[in-house]
Amino acid sequence: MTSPVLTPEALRALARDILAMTTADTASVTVSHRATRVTRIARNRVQRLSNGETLQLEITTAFGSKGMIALSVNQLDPETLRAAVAYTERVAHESIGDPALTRDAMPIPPRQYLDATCWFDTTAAALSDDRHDMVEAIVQPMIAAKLIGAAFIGASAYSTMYANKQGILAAGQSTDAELIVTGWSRPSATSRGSSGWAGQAARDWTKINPDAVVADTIRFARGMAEPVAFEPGRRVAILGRPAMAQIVATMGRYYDAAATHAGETPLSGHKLNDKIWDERLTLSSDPNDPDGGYLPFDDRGDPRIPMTWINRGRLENLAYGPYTAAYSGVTPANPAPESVRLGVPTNTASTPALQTIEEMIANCKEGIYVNRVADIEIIHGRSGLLSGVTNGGCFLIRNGKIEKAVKDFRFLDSPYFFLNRLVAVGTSERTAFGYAPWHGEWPLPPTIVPPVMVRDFNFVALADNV
Amino acid sequence: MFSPVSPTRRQFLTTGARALAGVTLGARVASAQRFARGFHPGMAVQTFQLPDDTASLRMTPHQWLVTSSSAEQFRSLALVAMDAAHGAGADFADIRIGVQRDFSVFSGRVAVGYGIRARVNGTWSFESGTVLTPDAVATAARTAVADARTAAAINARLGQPSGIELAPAPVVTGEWQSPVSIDPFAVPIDDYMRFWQSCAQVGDRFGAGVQTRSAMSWQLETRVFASTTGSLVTQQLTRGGIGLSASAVLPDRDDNVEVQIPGFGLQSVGFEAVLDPTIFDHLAVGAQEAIRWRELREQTFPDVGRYPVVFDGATMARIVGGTVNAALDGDRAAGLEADAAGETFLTPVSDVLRATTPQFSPLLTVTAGRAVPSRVAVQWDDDGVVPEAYTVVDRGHVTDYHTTRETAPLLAEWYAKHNHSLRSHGGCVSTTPASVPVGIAGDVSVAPAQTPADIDALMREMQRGFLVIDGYARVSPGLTGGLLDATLVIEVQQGKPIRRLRGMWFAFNTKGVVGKSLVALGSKDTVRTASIQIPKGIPWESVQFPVTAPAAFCKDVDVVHMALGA
Repeated sequence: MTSPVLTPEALRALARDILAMTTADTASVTVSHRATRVTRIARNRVQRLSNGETLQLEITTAFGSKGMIALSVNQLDPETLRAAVAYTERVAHESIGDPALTRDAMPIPPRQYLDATCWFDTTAAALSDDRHDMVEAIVQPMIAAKLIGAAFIGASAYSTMYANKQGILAAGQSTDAELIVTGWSRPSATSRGSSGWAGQAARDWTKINPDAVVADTIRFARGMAEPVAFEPGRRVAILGRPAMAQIVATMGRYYDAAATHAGETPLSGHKLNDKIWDERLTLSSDPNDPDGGYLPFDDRGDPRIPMTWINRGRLENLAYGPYTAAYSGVTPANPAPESVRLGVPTNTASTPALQTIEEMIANCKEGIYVNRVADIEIIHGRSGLLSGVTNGGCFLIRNGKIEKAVKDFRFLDSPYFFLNRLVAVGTSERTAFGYAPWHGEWPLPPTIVPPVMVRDFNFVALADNV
Repeated sequence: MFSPVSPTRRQFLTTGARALAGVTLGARVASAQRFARGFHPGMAVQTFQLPDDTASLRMTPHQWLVTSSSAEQFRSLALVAMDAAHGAGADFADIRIGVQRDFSVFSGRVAVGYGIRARVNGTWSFESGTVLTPDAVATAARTAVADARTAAAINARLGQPSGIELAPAPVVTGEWQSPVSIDPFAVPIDDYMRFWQSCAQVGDRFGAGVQTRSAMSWQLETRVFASTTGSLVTQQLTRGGIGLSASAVLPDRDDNVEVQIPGFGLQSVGFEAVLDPTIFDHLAVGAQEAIRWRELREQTFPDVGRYPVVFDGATMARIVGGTVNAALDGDRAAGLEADAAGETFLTPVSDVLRATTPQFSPLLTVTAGRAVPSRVAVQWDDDGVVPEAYTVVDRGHVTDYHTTRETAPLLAEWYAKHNHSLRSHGGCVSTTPASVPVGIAGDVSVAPAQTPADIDALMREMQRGFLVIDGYARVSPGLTGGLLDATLVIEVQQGKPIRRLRGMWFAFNTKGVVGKSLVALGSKDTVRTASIQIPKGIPWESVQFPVTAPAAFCKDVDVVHMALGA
């Protein structure tokens, strides 16, 4: 099968060609190439079938401490590349000096990258699939359930490369697939309407199960009929995986050692082995995570290796890139993770008992079950305090049963606080995000999370009002 | 044709020196409305030193950001693609093809690309690419038609009817370019750096801890639109400008009071924006204002509750832009964003338009359009439609929606009843030629009060409340409310600013803040412009547009705690 994006071999050849064109003391080339195929469904019909391609090649050059002039182009013909190199060199030559810009000229340790399986031919093949069957599997049940359906079916193939004159050359490919289904009924004179949301995401297209996603959407939409306003406040909350994924996706950046030492993260002021949250929870990242690995290098070609950040509730590691690690005398070096897994420790006899959401509900005297949250915003980085709104299913639980649907809340809490109030935890899975521009560009990195039940989760207001 | 560069540069250097010499320090007592600043927030502020030998940076962005593609080549490829789409059996197809060049002194971007839409039996497909050869665009066009046919076949099997017909649009041909006086890409880089240095020098005169800054960026785009109905237009669009700010470092901590200078920002404008002789005066006034705010006592505000609030024009623009304006988005009303940005509470359209009671305050009138010098100004939108000015809210009543050819038919019945022809308002936009076209509002304006009312006047009756300057609204997915914090929050007692407050958050309800709670709007001199960014679709792409609004007095706004332990 022809690759829909540049292969690692093609990227490496491109890097060698470009770097051979420049006489600059330091130079780097970054390439990202993405192909997508998207089917969007609106009102139970295909709204649009789209094929997109984006390509960006950035060349940066410097002479000694002069320069770091960057030019981005999206054409790969030799004429364009030669012109781009020539112009960055010309401006770099004439620019002012800045010793801080000489990082790429520093001696570097040898780079070794793990093998990581982020590419699936099944997903690449889905970039030319007509998706007849999947669309029907989504729309027919929605029509039968008398719901208005909207859906996003996306597949993406991506390749990226970073190379510099000092010898770093990292290239790799990944694929992503995501299915999101929303179903709702309109408010009427006799009904307040309802809506439900469900989704799945995977590197491998074949792991997407439209039947399961649609069934969940219909279940939530039916459950959300006639939602009523319920008093906000601190309450027991059962946070489903889609809710937890939105929250946990904010966490990776906090493990950066420089930011932590500068007092900017919830880990600032903590020492290694300090208790951060409940001892039943572990936070880790692994390029070869079977539920959602990631490329074993960052956008500067620095290697990423498996790391445990929080082990059984205690701080085990911070993230040191190679230069910070060398400066600080820390090994192993590892940049802040792009992707994390929150789960229970699995390598000890003390692995806690896991509960399903149904079991959590059965064990809850009074609380709120939140399927998903949206509009995440970090309010205070130092404490990890963030705000968002429930969106896509929110229910009142009383005496071990879902009593009724409730209107959406705005919440304000920090995972570094509420994960210390853990009541129960479930199994971890890669989870879909859906529309989430507050986290970055689609597709978002894999985030693997469990559902959790926590005490005193802070619902601050009805979302209708704020 | 653009003006030659050399005389302009001499003019700039002379003007800049004169303006710097004319800066008046310390003599002005700024009125409160001068503190109410509004300016596009997204522009990063950078500082650079002027090189010793400025003559060495005589290069211009035109020389730096080269492209081998020409408008003639784009037109030729566009016609090849449309012929291919027609031949493949499209009911309709169009293409946007061109090059964008972005410049902000030490970084640049050149991106070419195209996006082809094809329509079969009322179902769209879209195909984008970056390879500019006749074979590539023709293949893409045929693929788009095949995909549209596939999607239409799926819809037929599902028993779903054909999509709504597009609103009619006349065939258009021609060329247009943004009416800039001085091509910013023809100005040597050292002129930009000299301006930077001059702006920074204004702050130096106010002593330690006071800084004045400028930021500049421009985009030059050549975009060709063509369709299978025979339209073929070429536009050369220049967008950009300068951002100005002043700041004063707080004595007791690592923070500062920052003032954005109003009246500047991204527009369809050239380097002539830099030649405005008032720039340095504005920076000096901004520095004085930052110092004045710094001298006010700063405290945290411990009490939650409901208070009267005066929002400056920039804050009001962001509130209206994120709520009323988004709720009037035709894409949301048509359900096209149901899987992404969401729907709107202003639906069903026919019920909203027929409503006899106003949805918002009778003080609220909102208009939109894409006329020069707005940054979204075009002669033809990405549907090939000539944009028009229109009113979406008239004294509180919803009278229209922001539309494209795809969404305008939602209003067919309403237009027929009012003897308006069915047409798009020209709100179709692709952020790049290769992006999926979506609907936007264009340049949105909230009408100010006709009678004089500056911010001092709006605050005058306030016993105890707040003045919110440069506030940022976070609107909830349903658009029915949101949270707001601000660069500056001033406590007001008996109509007078008393102290600066930190850590303040406000919660607002859309129908309250632009409905029952809205007591008064400021007059023309309180009007400020803010840039609104709304991500649409999945994969989401952010569309940006300016919203202009006067200051507003709202009698009931909730102050909320956004810290744990409350």
